[in-house]
Amino acid sequence: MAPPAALLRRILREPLAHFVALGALIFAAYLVTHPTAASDERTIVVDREKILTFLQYRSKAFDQQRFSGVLDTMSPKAVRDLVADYVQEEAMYREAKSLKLDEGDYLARRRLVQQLEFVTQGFVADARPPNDAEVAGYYAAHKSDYAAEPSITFTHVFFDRARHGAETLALARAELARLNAAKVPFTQAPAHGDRPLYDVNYVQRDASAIAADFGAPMAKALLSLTPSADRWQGPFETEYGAELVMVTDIAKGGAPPLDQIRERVRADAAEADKRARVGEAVANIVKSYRVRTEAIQNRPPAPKP
Amino acid sequence: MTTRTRRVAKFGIAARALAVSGALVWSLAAAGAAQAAQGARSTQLYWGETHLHTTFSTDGYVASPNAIQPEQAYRYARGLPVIHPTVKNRVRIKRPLDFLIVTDHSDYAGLQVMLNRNEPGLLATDTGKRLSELFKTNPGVVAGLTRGVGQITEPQMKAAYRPVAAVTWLETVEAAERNNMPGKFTAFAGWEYSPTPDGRNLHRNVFSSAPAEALRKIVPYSTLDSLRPEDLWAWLQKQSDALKIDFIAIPHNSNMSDGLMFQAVDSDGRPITADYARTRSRWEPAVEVTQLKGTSEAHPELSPNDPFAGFELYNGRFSPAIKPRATKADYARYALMLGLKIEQDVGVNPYKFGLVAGSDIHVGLSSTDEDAFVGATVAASLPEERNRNRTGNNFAVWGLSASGTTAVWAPENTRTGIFGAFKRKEVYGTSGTRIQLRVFGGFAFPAGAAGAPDIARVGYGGGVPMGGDLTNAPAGKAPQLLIRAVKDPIGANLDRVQVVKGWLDAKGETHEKIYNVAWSGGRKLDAAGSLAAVGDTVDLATAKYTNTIGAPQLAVVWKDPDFNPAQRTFYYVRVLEIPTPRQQVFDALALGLSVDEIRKIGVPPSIQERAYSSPIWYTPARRR
Repeated sequence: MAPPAALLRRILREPLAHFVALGALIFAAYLVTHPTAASDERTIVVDREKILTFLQYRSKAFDQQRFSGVLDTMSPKAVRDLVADYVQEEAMYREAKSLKLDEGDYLARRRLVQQLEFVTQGFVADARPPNDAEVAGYYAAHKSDYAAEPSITFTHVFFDRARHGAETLALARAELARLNAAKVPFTQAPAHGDRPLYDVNYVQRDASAIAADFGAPMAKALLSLTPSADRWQGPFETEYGAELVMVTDIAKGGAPPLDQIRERVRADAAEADKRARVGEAVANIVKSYRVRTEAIQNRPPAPKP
Repeated sequence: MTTRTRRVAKFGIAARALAVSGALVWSLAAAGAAQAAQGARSTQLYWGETHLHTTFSTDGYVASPNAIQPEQAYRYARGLPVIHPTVKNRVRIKRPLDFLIVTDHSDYAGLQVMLNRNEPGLLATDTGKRLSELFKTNPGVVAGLTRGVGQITEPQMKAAYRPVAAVTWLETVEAAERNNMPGKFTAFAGWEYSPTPDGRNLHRNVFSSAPAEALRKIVPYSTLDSLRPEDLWAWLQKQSDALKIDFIAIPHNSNMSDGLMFQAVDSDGRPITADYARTRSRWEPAVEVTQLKGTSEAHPELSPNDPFAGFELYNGRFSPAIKPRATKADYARYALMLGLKIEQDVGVNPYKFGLVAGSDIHVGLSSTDEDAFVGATVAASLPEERNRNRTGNNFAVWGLSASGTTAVWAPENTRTGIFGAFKRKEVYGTSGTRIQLRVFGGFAFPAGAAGAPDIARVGYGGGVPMGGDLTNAPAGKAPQLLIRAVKDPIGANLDRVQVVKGWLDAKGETHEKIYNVAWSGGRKLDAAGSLAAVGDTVDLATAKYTNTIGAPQLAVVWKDPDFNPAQRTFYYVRVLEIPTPRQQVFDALALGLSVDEIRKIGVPPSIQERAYSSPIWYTPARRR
């Protein structure tokens, strides 16, 4: 079901896959230097290790211990079927190789490239974690990555235009005066007005969430208010009627101070450093080749100015 | 709230006394509030099915002229008689539904139906022609091909299907349109997006409140497009912007995700960011907590102090290589807890969702009554088939649950009315029973509120309904929950009402605690807060129970005795019925099995059906 790219991504993320890839490379090298090891090319040897590996690849999950358990509790028929599948795959694989079918296959080529990428990553992985100065430098350069949207906390009293028609706004204005005179607190908002379409209280929600329920103009207007737990504000007109609000908190958004998120930034900086060094290693491999470029595009001549 | 309201309100003298005192208090309180506009705040309870497959799903296809297509599925849900696809007798739902979302798998939806009628667009390609040949000799082979097993490659299958991807969707949209009757019955056209990477379930049901003219312009997003939920959300955003319509996606069977559904990281393994959290909570305001493939609320190994967590667990997985294990990423309760932690870290809670339920039946006939269960698939609809398999991982077994119904509190039974309730999470899920459940959160419900004649007026007037948020706790006050649960009118009495609380402590660790808050007759909490079992009246020789134990109604105002205003917290309510016979008992009796044999089937013969409310969250005011 999984498209090959997604599958590959998942498999290649597995540390075991890196290990297996590395093992495969070493084994390939061994085969090249020890031709007798592969001399009996018409014999397929099946053992527990091979079947365990096969089972894990087939399940697209890698957990040696878990699959040892799975294998040992499989019925004899299931094991026979599994072995038969393995033998068929191995035989077909060897035939395909002998026909050199792998050489013209783009997927096989991509797969090899990715294996080398992972081997490369393995070599650059173990660098020391970035120190505080490096973390601070990374934070300064990527501050916008950590920026939060402004968020707001408020409760509201709703006047439904479907019920009150042209009176809606006037009704809201009159109620505003009453709410403030009676010092109606935040938690008593539900006792007033009509049943809101969505939530009663909005707690630390950001502008896009507010805009989804009240429309962008009201969301924008709310963020410009001064929070006060003693004052009802409004009215605001929306698609559905009028709103009075008590805003108790507005967080400006932007990036939090480094101290609050230092470890998250450190991990990101380490990751960025690793990516950069992998890029360098790949660039070095590419650099070791001479490249001769010939005509690539067939284009009509450019129009004269 | 005093000891009085913490006690059980039961139909009878005590309840009447409570009701009278409550009514007095309430009428006094109401006089003050009536000054305001005090509009039509009341909501009605509507029952619906959010997860149903028809013959348009490749794994629900039935080669029969009586196969249930969306048209018949809506008609059945409305209470009209239809023909059962294999048994061929006339069947009619015991109690009609108020709304139905048809959710056929969007991957290759309608493929066999189109092959069967030689859909021209499908036969226009070589692959389509080959499919048609294969289908004629062996219809069963097609379902395998859609799962990438067989002689036609995945790219070839996709290319052949793309030109006809909209055909059965448009038929679903038209069927919904014909059966949608504002005020009486709401028909939503939806679909199931079913990514199953490595056999790990990440499925979502998707639906929209949009009218047919907008829905005709889309082709349901599917795993032909991507296996990443992030890509689904991006697509929803794009359609929403282009067509000015809204969607909801409901994750389900997290219990079969093998640790994938509710993680602290995204699909690429990167820690969840504010953007991810905002996007996820934007599109996924509800999660399916129970259905025929088991319960996704909690797991007994992860909640050892919850004696009711082991309810209808399902051990089947989509890959035989996956060994069932209990991980926190597979169950809704721990996701709600993790959400508090992520909210603290990045500012937005990705797992702020309500709890709903659906059947996931693949026959097109929504059925969650134990005594009238139609089975998961057509192949599994016959008791003798289920008897042949009994337990195990396929669908023709007695281990599957006759489960999953969603209740919605909405001002009216229309597409916008029902959809709005999902958006504000004023919804709850049950194991199929129709327990009526009201939950409100506030800080100062009037004395006697639990006995008020119109609990909705007290609740809406003084608090937030389930799915809502509390903050700015008045000094010295703890959150209260005003809860009223009433038994299913034709069902079993209630055993108890529980509050499940989750919170995040100062060290950033999450915790859970279960409180028994109301219960039926004559039992007392012990020092640890536990309550003796309610008993069991189920008679396996007749598949009957009696309402001689339990209470028809339980109501309470509960105040959190351990509240810490500095901690992010959520509360949801779980209501348990007294034990009733499970579906296989009816099959077994009909097949002539003895009581001894019934006990040996390997599935509990009696169960405590239940309702799960959506949570109410408390968020401390931000420190400035």
